[in-house]
Amino acid sequence: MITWDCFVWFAIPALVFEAAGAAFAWKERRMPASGMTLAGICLYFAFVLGLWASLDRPPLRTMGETRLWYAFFMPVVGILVYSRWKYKWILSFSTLMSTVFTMINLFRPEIHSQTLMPALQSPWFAPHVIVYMFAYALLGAATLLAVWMLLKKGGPGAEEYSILDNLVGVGLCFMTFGMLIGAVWANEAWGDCWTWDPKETWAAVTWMGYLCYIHLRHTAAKDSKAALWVLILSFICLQMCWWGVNYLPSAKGRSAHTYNS
Amino acid sequence: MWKRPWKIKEGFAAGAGILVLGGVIELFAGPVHWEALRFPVNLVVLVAYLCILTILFLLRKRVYPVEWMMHGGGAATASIACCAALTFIMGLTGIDLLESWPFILSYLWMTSIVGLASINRISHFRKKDIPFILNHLGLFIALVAGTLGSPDIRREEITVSEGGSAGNGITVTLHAFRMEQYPPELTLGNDPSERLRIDNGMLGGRLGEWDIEVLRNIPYAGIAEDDSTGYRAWLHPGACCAMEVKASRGTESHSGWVCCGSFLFPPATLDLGGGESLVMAPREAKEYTSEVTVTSGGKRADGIIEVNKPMRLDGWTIYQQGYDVSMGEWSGISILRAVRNPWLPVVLAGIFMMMGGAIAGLLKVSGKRKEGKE
Repeated sequence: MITWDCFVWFAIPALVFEAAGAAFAWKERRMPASGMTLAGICLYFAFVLGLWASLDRPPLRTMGETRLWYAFFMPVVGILVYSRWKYKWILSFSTLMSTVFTMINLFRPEIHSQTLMPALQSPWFAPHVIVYMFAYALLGAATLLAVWMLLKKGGPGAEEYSILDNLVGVGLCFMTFGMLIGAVWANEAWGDCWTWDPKETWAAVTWMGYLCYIHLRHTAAKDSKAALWVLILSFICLQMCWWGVNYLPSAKGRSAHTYNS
Repeated sequence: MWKRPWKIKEGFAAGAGILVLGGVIELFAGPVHWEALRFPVNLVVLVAYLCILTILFLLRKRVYPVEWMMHGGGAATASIACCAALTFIMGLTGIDLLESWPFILSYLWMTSIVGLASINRISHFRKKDIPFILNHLGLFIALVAGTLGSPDIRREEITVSEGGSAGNGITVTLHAFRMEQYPPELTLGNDPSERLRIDNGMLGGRLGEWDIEVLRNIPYAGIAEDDSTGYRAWLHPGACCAMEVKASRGTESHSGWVCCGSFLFPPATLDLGGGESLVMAPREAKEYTSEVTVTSGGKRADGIIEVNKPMRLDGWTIYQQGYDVSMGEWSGISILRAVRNPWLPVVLAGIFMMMGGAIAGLLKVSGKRKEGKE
C-alpha cells in the first residue's frame, strides 16, 4: 500500500532525475534532458496513482495533496515549454519549484485519512482541482520567467514576451475552465453558482489579475515591464487563493471551501 | 492626458471618477437596494441597459469614449484593474462591498466594456473571432443575468423532523433520514496524522510504533451495565462503535476499550503510557440522505435527496444541506435547502459559452504553435 510514509522513496529519486534533466538542458543535450525529466515525472505520477488507490479516493482534498499535484505538474509544464522553445533554463526552474513543494510535503506530515466528506463526492471534484493545479503550474512557470526577465542583464526580449503570452494565455484558459467547473458544481451542491466566499473572492481577484496582464499586453508598449509586475502580483493573489485564505483572519470560519478537519 | 487616442492613463482617471461618483451616491442615497430590482423591475432595467449599449454602439463614431472603450485598450485594462482592486480589498478585509456603489459601478463599467466589445465583434463577424465572442459575450451574459437575477432568487432553509413536514412556498415531508459512516479509524492522541482504518472483519494493523490487535469490535454498543468498564451490543439511538483492543510495542502491551462516543456516551481512550493514548477518531459521514415527499404548486413528487444530488420540482431545487451534527447518524432531523432561481438557465448559458471560449482559445493557441513550426 502506497502511503505518505513511502513518499520520500518516490520523491527524492524523482527530483534527482529532474535535476539531472535540468543539468543536461544547460549542456544543451536535449534527448537526455527530456528523458531524465520524463523519468522523474513518471516516478512522481506512480506515487500519485498509488496513493489514489490506497486512499480509495482521489488525493485532491488536503493541502498536501494539492501540493503533490503542483509538484507533479511543474516538470510537465517544464518539459512542454522545453520541447517547444528549447530554453535551457526552464527545466531548472520547474525542478526548483517541484523541489520546494516536495520539501514542504516532506516536512509537514499529512493526514492519511481515507474519508472524503459527502460534499466532495462529486464527479466535478477531480476535474475542478486537477485543472486548477495544472493552471497554477503554468502560471507559476510564467511568474518564474517574468522574474528572470526583470532581473536579467539587457532587459527582456520580444521572444520571451511571446513565450510569456503563451504560458499566461494557456494558463488562463485552464484557470477559467477550473473556475467555471466550480461554479456549475456549486450550483449542483448548494444552489448558488457564486457566493463570494473568501476562496471565490480571491479566485476572482486572481482571474482578473491575469486578465489585466492579457489586456495590458494589447495596449501598453510591447516591452513594458508593468506587465511583468502584474504577473508577479497576480501570482501572489493566486497563492492567497490556494492556501492563504486558510490563514487570513478576515476569512476565518466564513469559507464554504474549508474541508480540512 | 485626454489627448486622443486615450490610453490606460485615461482609463485610470475614468476609474477614479467612477469610484468618486459611487462614493457620492452612497453618501446621499445609502447602499445599493437590491430588493428594488425584483421582477419586473430587473427585466425593464435589462432591456433599457441593452438598448443604451446598442445606442452607444451606433453612436460610436460621434462619441469618442465609446470607440475607446471598445478597442481593448486602456479602458478594458483599467476597468479590470479597478474591479480587481476593490475585490482585493473585499478579500483582504472581509468587508462586504456587494451593496456599495463604487464596487457596483466599477463592475458595471467593466461589464459595459465587455458588452460593447462583444457587439463590436459580432457586428463584423469573422470566424476567427469565435473564441473572443464566446469569452466576452458569455461573461457579459453571466454577469448581467447573475446580478439582475439575484433579487429574484428564493432560498428557503428547511429543517424537518422525521415523520414531519416543513417549508415555505414548498413543503417537504421527511419519511426517513439515513446516514452511512466510514469505518472507524484509530489514531494516536498526540499524533493525529496517522490513521488506522478498521474495516469490517479486520483484526488489527500497525499504527506508528504500535501493533494493534482488535479483540472485539461492536459496531453499535452501549456501556455495559455491570461493574466492568466494557461495552456490549446495544442497537439503540445513541449507540456508538466500541472496540476492545490490545496495543503492543516490543515487550510493552496495553489492553482496553476505545470508543468514539456519541450524544449519550463520552469517548473512551486507551492510555499507552508516556503521554500517549489510543483514540477512536470521531466517525465521519460517508453519505447521508433524506427520503422525502415534496409538494409545490399543486405538484407532488417522492424521492431521495443526497448531497450533490438534489431533487427538482416546480422550478424549485432541493438540496441536502446538513443534519443535527450533535446526534450524528442518530439525527432525527434533516436540514434541507430549497432554491428557486428563474434566471439560472441564462447564467448557465453564459457560463457554458465561457467554457466554450476557453476551449476555443486553447485550440487557437495550439493552432498558432503549429503555424509557428511551419
